[in-house]
Amino acid sequence: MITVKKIHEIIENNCPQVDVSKIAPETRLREYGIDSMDFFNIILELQDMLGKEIPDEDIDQLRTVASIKDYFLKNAG
Amino acid sequence: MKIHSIASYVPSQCIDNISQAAGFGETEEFIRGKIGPIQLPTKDSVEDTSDMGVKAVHKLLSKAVLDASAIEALLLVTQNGDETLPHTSARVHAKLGLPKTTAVFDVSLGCSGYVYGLQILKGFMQSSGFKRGVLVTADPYSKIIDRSDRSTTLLFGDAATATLLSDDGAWSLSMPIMCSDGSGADNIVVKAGKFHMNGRQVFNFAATEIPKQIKDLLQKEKLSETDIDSYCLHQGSAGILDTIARRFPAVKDRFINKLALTGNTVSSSIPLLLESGMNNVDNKKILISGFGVGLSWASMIISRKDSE
Repeated sequence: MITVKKIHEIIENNCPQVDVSKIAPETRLREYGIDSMDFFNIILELQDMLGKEIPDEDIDQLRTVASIKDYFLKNAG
Repeated sequence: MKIHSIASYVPSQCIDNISQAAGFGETEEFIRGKIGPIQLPTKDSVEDTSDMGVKAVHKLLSKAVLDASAIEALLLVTQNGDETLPHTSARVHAKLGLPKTTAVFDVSLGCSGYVYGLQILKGFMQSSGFKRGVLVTADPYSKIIDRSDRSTTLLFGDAATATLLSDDGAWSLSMPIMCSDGSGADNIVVKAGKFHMNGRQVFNFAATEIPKQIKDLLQKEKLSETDIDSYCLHQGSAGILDTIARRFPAVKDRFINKLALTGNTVSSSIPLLLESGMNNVDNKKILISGFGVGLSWASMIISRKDSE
């Protein structure tokens, strides 16, 4: 299980320039200036939380805060 | 066996990386902050891998005031040699006019090649009773880069280096830690003559394995993070260097980033850093770590003679 607050915290850790309070759950993260390197770091932290590797083919399911939450619901535990 | 001196050859012809990036819609800020190089040196089309290596060795011989005839062994690290056969070090041997008694051979490794190369040459020299050997790195990726592939064309530059190992050098080598994971080999490959890299998987590998290996090495050598004056890691990209450095908050500023003018020069990136880093009198202990193709990764600590 992952909360929106935790996802925001991970984004803040890796992209301090982003104001997470302005992130809409359904908008793609790159719209807020999160580039590919930032995204790699976010995925790395999510992977640590999940406790298993996130395969390349699942990456497209992690482009928004809402989809990250959904992915954890389906794959955690 | 110790490092005596290092010299390099960096081609003067360069790709303007800011312009190249603009062609892919990338900003200068992204290139400077996350990728690193603002220019990428590229060899001349008539220049081959051996020519680059020879130029680096000539500079080394001049710097060390040494005649080529004094070289008893020469190891060339490359995966983009002049030809498939013979080994490119044979071409270097001929172009330098080395004696027939000089042992030369290639080692096929990428970005971990410098650390592996130091250890291989050191052991080879010790077991052969040699006093002077040269480790050459020359791996021009301009031969294999697909200029339409945004994930690789913005990263790699060409360069060659030459390192003299001798019994009277000033920098001793610690025991290294050397690792491999062939299950990740497909993440950095050449297919149909073109270079391909799974950026995310390589990033994951480096961000996960390198901090762990550095910590293991420090523990093995009974040193703390702050005992190391400079962390000279393979210059993969600015983003990966920053990610690794953030795992070491107390010494984050000691991680060197000199990607701007050369880019990722594969096995030449660490010796390029050491060439200047060893001249800094404040540097007594330097940790070096290379990682990439294979997957292969290796780390070692070099110490100035008066600090042992």
